[in-house]
Amino acid sequence: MNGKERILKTLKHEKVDRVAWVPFAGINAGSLVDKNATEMLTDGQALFDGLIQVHKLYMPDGMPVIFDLQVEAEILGCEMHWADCAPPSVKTHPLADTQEMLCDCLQPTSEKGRLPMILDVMRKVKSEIGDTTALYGLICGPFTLASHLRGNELFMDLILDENYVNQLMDYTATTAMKMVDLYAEAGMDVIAVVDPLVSQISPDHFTKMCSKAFTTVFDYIRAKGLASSFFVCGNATRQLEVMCETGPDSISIDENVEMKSAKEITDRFNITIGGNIPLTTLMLHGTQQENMKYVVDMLDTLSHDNLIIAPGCDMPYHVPVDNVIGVAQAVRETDTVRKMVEHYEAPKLNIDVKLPDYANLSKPLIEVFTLDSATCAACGYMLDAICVASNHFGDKVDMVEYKFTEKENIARCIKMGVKNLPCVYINGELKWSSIIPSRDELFGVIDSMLAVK
Amino acid sequence: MTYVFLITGFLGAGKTTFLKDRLSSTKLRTGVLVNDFGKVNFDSMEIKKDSLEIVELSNGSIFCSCLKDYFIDGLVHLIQLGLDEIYIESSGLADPSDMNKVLSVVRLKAVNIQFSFGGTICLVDGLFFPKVLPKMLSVERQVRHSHLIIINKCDLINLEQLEKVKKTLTELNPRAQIIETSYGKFDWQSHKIDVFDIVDEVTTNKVETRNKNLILHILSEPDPEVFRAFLNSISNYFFRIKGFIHMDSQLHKVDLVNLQIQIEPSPGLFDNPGIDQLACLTSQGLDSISQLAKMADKYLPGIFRLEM
Repeated sequence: MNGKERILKTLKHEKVDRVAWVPFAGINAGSLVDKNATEMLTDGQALFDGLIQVHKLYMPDGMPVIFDLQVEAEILGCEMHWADCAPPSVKTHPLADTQEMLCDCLQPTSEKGRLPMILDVMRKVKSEIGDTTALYGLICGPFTLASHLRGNELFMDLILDENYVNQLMDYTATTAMKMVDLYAEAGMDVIAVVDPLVSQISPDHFTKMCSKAFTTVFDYIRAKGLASSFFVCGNATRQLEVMCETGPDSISIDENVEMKSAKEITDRFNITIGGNIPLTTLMLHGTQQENMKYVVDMLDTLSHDNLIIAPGCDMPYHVPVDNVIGVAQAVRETDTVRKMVEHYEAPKLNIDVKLPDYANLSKPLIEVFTLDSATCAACGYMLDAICVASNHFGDKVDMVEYKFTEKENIARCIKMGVKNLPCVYINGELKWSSIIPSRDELFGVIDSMLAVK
Repeated sequence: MTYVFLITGFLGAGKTTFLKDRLSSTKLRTGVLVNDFGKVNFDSMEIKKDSLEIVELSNGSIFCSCLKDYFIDGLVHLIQLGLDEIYIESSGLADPSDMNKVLSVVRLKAVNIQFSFGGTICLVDGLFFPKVLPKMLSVERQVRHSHLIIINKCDLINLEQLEKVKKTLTELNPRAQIIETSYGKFDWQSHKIDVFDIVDEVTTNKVETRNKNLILHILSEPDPEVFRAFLNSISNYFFRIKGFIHMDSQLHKVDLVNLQIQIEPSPGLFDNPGIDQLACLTSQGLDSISQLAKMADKYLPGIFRLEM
C-alpha cells in the first residue's frame, strides 16, 4: 500500500496497514532549501524544490502543496504584510468600513493573484510524486476568509447583524468552491478547508451562521469526487460536534484539543481525525527523542482506525528537520522507535520567570498569550481585538503579547497555568480563552476595571 | 441608419424563440448582442449562423455594473459595423430600468455614427407571469420599462387568465402596446413600435443581488428516465436549468423553468464533444448547491462534473 492509497483509504474509513502521516510543511519546507517564507510562497521554483525535499526527508503519505490562508484574501483585495519566517498576514480588510458585498467578478480564477504559480506547482508536484503521495490542496475556510475581508468588525456582526454575516459567508463559501474547482483541476486528491477562527466563536454562532457554508463546501468537494478535511486550530473542543455535523471526511486539530476525547467524538460520526503534535513546545523546542516518544504514546493511546498523525497546524519555519524525521520514523517504525525511547526522560524547562505583582498594578494590564500572532490567524485576530482596545484606552492600560514560540514564554504560560491559546488575561485573571471578544464586551470589561480604580 | 431593439422578458418567456423567428424571416443585415446568465452562452448557440454578427456577454446581467462596460462596448462595436438592425437579448433576470443612460453613453462613444433606438420589447410568459411577478422585481421592471409587450404562450392559457394578465400589464405600463401570440411569432410589418419616453430608475441588477449559477458537465449519456428524475429532484431549487445533452445517441435541448421540464431532440444544432452541459441558475444560495451536489451524486454517479 502506498502513501496515497493509505490516505485515501483512511479518509474513506477503510482499514489500512499502518496509521498515515501528513507533515504540514508549509513555510518549514523553505528551511530545507534555504529559502525564506516569502520566497516559498511566491516563487514557484522554491516552492517546488521545497516540496520535493519534504517528500524526500519527511517521507509523507500525504502532504499539502501550499499552506497559506491568505491566497484568497489577497485576490479579494486584502493587502499583505510579508515576513521571512511566517506566512503573510492580512494588513487591510476591504470590508472593514462597509457592509457592501464584494462583486462576484473578483472571485478567484486561474489567472488571479498567486494562483498561476500555485496551480503550476501543483501540476508539477502531481506529475513528480502524485502517483504515490496524496496531495492536499488547502483553501481558506469561509469564516476565516470572512474575517480577512471584514476584520474584527465581524465579531460585532456575529452579535448584531446575523443577516450580514450570512451574506458574507455565502460569498466566502462561493470563493471556497471556486478554489475547489481550480485545485481539483490541478490534481489535488484532498481538499482541506482550513479555518482556524472557527475555534474562536461559540458553537451556537457556528450553527447559525457558518454551518450551511461549510456543509455546502463539503458536499461540493464530495461531488467533485475528492476527499475533504476540516482543519481547525485553537481550542475547538466545544465546536467539534457541530464541525462534524457539516460532513467532512476528516477533521484536523491542534494541541489545544485533547486528542483521545476528540477522537471519541469524531468516531461517533465516523469521521477521520488528524493531529495533534504540539508545534512549539515539542516540534520547535523539543528533542528528537521527545518527538518520537510523543508519537509512540499517541499511537499506543489511540485506536488506529480513522486516524492520521500530523502536526497541530503549519509547522514553524525553524522546526529542526531531525524532529520531523523522528516523527516520521515513529509512525513508520513504531515498534523499533518504542524500544529506542522507552527509558528516555525529557529535559526539564529550566527558566525562572517573574510574574507581575498583579495585586498592586498602577493600571490594568492586558496580557495576550498566543501561539504566534504572525502565523496563527486566530491569534492574530485575538491580538488585533486587544490592540483596538489598547489604542482606544491609550495609556490608561498596559498591553503585552507573549508568543509561545519563545521558551521564556512557555515557562510563563506554565507558571500562569495557561491551558489554551490564544487567551487574554487582565490583571492576572483569565478573561477570554479561545474566544475573541466583541469590541463592546472588551471595552465594557476594561471600563469596569478603570471605574474600580 | 441602424435600428437597435432591446428584448427583455423573464426566464423561459420565449425571447430566444422570438429572436430566432425574426432572424429567420428578415433579409436585413443584422447583429445580435446576447446576454446569458450562465458561463456558457446557450442562447447564442441557438441563433448562430454565418451571416450574423454576434456579441456574447455571459455570466450575469448586462445592466449590472460587472458587465455594463462590456455591454456598452459590445453595442458600440455592433453599431460601428453599419448594420440595419441590432437586437439586444438581455438575460431573463435583467432589470433594464436605466436603458436611457446606457444609450446616452453609447451615443457619446459611437461618434459620427447614426443609430436609432427602435424600442424595448418585453416577452411575457402568459402561463407563469402571475406566479413570477410577485416574486421577481426584475419582471415588474421589465414590463414597466418596455414599449411593446408581447404575451407569449397564449395557446396554453384560457381567456380568463389572458384578460387578467393583460389587466395587470396595463396597470403596470398603461402606455405600452400589448400583443398576444404563441411560439414567439410577431408580424413586424404590421406593427410600428411607439418609442415613447420612459424615465430611468436605478436598476436592481447589483452585485449584491446576483444569482448563483453553476455548470453541470455530463460526461457520458445518462438514462433518460434517470436524468428526468434527477431534474425533478432539483427543480425546486433552481429558477432555470438549460443546456444540451446527448441521450439515446441524440442531442437534446434541456430547459427547466418554473418547475416545468422540457427535454426535446435538437437535430441540426451545432454539435461538439463538450456540448453536454447544463447551466443552473438559482436564487436560493448555498442550499441549492448542496442539493445539486447530492442529487448529481445520487442520480448521475461518476458521469458528471460540477463547476462554479
